Amino acid sequence: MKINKKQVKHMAELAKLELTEEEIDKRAKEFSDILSYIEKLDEVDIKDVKPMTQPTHKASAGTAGGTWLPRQDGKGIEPLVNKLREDKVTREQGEEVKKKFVSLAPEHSDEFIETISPLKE
Amino acid sequence: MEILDLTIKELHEELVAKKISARELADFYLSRMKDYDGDIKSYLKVTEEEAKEMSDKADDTLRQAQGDSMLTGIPGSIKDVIVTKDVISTGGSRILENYIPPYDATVVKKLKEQDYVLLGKNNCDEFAQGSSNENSGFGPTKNPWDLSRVPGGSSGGSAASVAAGLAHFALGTDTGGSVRQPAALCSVVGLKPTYGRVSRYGLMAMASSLDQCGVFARRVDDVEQVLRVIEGEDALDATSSTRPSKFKAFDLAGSLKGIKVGVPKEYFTKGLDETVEKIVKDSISKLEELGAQIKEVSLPNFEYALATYYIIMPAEVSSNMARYEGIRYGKSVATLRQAQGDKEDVMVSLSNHDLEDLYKANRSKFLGDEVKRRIMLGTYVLSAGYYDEYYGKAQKVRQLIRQDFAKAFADVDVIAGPATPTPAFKLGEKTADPLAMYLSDIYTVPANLAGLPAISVPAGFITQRRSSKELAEFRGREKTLTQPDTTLPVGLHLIGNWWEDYKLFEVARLFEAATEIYKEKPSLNE
Repeated sequence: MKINKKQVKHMAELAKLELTEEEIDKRAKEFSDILSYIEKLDEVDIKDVKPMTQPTHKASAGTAGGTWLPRQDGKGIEPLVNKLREDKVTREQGEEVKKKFVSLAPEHSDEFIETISPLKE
Repeated sequence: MEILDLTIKELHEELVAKKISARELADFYLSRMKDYDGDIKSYLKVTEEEAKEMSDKADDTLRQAQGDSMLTGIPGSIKDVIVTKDVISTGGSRILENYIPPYDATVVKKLKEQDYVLLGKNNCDEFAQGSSNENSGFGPTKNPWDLSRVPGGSSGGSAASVAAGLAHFALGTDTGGSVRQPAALCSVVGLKPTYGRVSRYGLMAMASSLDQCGVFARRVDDVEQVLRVIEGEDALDATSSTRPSKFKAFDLAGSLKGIKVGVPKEYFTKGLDETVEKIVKDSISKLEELGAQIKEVSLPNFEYALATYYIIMPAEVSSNMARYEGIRYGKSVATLRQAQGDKEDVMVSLSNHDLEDLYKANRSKFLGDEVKRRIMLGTYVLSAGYYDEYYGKAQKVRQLIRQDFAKAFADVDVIAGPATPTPAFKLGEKTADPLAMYLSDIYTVPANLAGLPAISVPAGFITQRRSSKELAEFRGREKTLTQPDTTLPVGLHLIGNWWEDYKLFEVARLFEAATEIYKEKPSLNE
């Protein structure tokens, strides 16, 4: 896969990065090399293979193994499943922590983080 | 008593018997750090004050005879991508140069509950992205065995701090080998646990389906002691396992009899340094001598693992790095402009721009080259029209790689092989060629893709004669550089079945006892 300068500029735009002309040239070559290496995957037969989206999911565990958990009752195994909880505050952090968080912002007032408005007039 | 030679268990006994205090132990390490870390640069921040306070607290705990925790008073260092409350945590990045986290990572919180002692924050590749520590925004760490060479990465500072005796243990993170590769190149033990065993809360996320917190120490037993403390389910990490965290001890009673060690036939191909290959093969013979049965296994998709990784990892990096925009925390060009004028002016002048301009200005100025490279690559493989071609395909090959392991582990207990294709390379040797750098992770990446536990154990050394050119170049410099020969460590890499981290420890412990390579130490300059 050959990546040209125009594609590099597009990638930078999507990634919210500004590149110098020199960087654009360098990246075009590097990305061409890396993507050519990645093309190795074209050799693999992936027909009927289910994608593995994350390493603990039952559907992607395959038949022979996976990230299985022993059941509490000792009968066999069960996969790690989604862990959901009620949408409730479980840990009150208090004013001090809140102040610390806000004060981490490069631009802030006592209570608020400041930045340019995302809304255009 | 030679502190560096004691295991955590032995140190614990000394502490309980009051033969040494936690404060003395902390001072011992702090003074070594002053003497030796100048050249190595394994720390970004030495937390001397905290170390003194924490060790005094540990001594109180020990005095009240409550010191039944193995880690009370034991000094460790923490990779800088792991956040520590009220202690600056940069993640090796200029964009977080001034970041003081208001909270602790779960692993740090758990260590604190045992009254461990924090010595400092370890240098690392920016946001854990790199294989040599040369991508640190604050300058590279050097290999204690040879200061002209890299310690590996991305947890190179953590590995080097343990190898040089500047910490008793260290925490790192491993996304594609970032604990095991530097462990091998620095001759220390490095573990990446099963995905889900240790909470990722408070680790600056790199690639979330691959990241796992790992442990470095000079001895296998010490790595196990630390894992026992940091493992377990955490409500703050939804992928942490609900499996009861009580470990299963595997007592092999001094012999590997009954243990089957698989050796993938795909491992020994071109690209593997011959001297590394010899040491690894000798190590496998050693396992056989210890009673293990050696079996050839096959991982047919091994050769596709690195290509798969270099799609999945940057894809996840590109979304995780979106948070660094210099608005909620970190560095901002807005602050720089403010330093030159008054604040009203700055906000007015910024308001002539789009918010996107500020994102771009901050990210471009404060993020390093490799991070930008991976963000762009990840953005590309996920972009419209290319998703199926790259990301979708990689997820399927990842599935096949996992299935290869599942089949292999139906037959064997552990898989053995090299941790790295070469010994430590020279600083600057691979920085101009990202692909060559990426290839140094070829043996470690598959365990991350599959979510398996894996450990690197010191296996031996390669002695290389320095060229006359090198000797001329290094004349008058540090001690490790002026010797006619350079001594470079090699690691044995063992991969275990899912959740069998403790079986890995047993095998590694017997190998360590039979080889005693940990007794070799680098000669350091004051």
